[in-house]
Amino acid sequence: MKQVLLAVMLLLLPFTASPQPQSRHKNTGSGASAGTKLPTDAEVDTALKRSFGYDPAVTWKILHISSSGAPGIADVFVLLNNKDFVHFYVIPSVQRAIQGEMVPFGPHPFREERQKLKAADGPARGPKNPAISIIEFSDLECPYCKAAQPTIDRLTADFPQVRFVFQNFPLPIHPWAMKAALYADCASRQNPAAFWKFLDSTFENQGSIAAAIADERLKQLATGAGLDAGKISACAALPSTANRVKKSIALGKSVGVQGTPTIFINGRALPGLGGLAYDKLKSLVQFEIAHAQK
Amino acid sequence: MIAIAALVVAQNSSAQKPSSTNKAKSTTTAEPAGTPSPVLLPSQAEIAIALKRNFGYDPGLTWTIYDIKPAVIPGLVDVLVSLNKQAPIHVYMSPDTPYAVVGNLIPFGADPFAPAREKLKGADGPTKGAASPAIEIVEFSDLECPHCKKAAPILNKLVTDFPQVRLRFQQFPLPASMHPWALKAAEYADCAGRESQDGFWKYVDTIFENQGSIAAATADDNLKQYATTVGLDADKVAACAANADTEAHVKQSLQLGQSLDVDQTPTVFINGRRVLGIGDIPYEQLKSLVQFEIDHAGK
Repeated sequence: MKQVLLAVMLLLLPFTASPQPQSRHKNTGSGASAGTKLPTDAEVDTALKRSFGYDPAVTWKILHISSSGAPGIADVFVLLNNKDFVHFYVIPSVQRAIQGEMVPFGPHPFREERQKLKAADGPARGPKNPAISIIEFSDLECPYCKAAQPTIDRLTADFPQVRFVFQNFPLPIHPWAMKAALYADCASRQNPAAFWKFLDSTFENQGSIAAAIADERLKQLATGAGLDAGKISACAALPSTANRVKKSIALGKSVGVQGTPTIFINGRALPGLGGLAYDKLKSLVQFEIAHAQK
Repeated sequence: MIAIAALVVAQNSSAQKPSSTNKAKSTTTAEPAGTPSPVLLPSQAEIAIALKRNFGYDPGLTWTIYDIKPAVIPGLVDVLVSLNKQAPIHVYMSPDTPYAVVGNLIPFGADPFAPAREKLKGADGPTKGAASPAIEIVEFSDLECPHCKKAAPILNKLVTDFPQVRLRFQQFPLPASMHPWALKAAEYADCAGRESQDGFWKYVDTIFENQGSIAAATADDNLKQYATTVGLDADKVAACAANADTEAHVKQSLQLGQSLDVDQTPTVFINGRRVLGIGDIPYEQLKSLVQFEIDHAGK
């Protein structure tokens, strides 16, 4: 239900959406979508005009047109009336579209994401050969990510057979999030144990960090976590660090992350932790452990 | 997004059971089912496995699969399913991929209403308005339905305000379980229409006006009485209404509606564009819509 009603849920979830939500299949090279001829911006505009043009109050902005992953179906993502993000899954051959949300569906609905997420190389804790992995895409400046952390900590404590991986996904709307991601990335490489302390204290001090003083504050927090602040700061300025963070963002986008926090439990996406109460979340983890390879 | 999602739910709420209750303010919605493309349909069991894989973690979640059929869209399967006994939703699944789109099928393109317009050429109900119209407004209506009563003056005003438009009335009586005398009224009205176009519209207005005082048991008496009131030969209309070919004609109109995915009344097609909840749309907006469709006549 939560998945099916994703469209309704997204705005209700404790979740910060990126201003440029991504298509699940934006960069797909799979054979299934290879034959899809995408409509042009002009064609989509004509169609929208034909449907909504009678009402001058209706406005739209075409955000992207990409392959949906299903043969013959284009994913047209539109901002309607400057407030509603709407997917039109357009089938040009029959002049029709499905207005709705694409969701995983089938006997192995989360396998593709699970496969892609094997590339997740962020700081991790838990067993080396886990039953399943929980991967979080997070933004250190995002209040919902801060709020989600205790829940995630509780989950990993309740399921010692599960591995937790943290992936940086700083949103462009957060002025110091990228810098914090760079520091965090360096922290995890310098001292994996100290990384978690750094993460917790950054979340804790979100309110006292600002873009202008971000370096200074992050260095203080690094020192507080037992890290070598000078080294971390130097590392954070390296292009290779920026590349690692960008790679993490790209990984998130490739599995349809549109905002933070988004966690993947065994490949199943839960934006904003699905808005689930803890007992439901626990049942879900247990269910995914039972379906580890499915 | 919330409004749109709510719309989707509201529109789908009548997908299975025809209903005259319609609160969705929509001017674009699901379009007719065309020729289904050949696609290997998944079984009920396969759909159940997929649903279980998604929702099985929550013992509080239940689902009912209503229908599995080829979608109008090539290669897609249209699964109608209800979660937790809520209004059914359409899951358009692509059996070759691990994805489905949950939502509502809508016309979309440069000339998206052409398929409906083409089918509506088969509409032969009574008309009023322009003899050679720029566009046609076709209403599928049920004489026992209160929302149809509410729609009548709005449609009448539209054809007055737009003399280049023709209004056509198609009988779409909902099942007797919902509207016990609707079919009978449709048969009487059908006969009235064959006697006199002018008499037909007066007759329909009178029936709407008196909806509250008609009951299944006395429907024949009531319907004859109103026929007389509007100047029709009541006995002739009653005899005609009892003919098998009258019933067949009403059924033909029902089938035309069904072929256009009409699942509630009133459903209005303006130049082929499906408009639901016409009574809830501000009149000025409706006028803009009709003008827009006149400007796009044949497109």
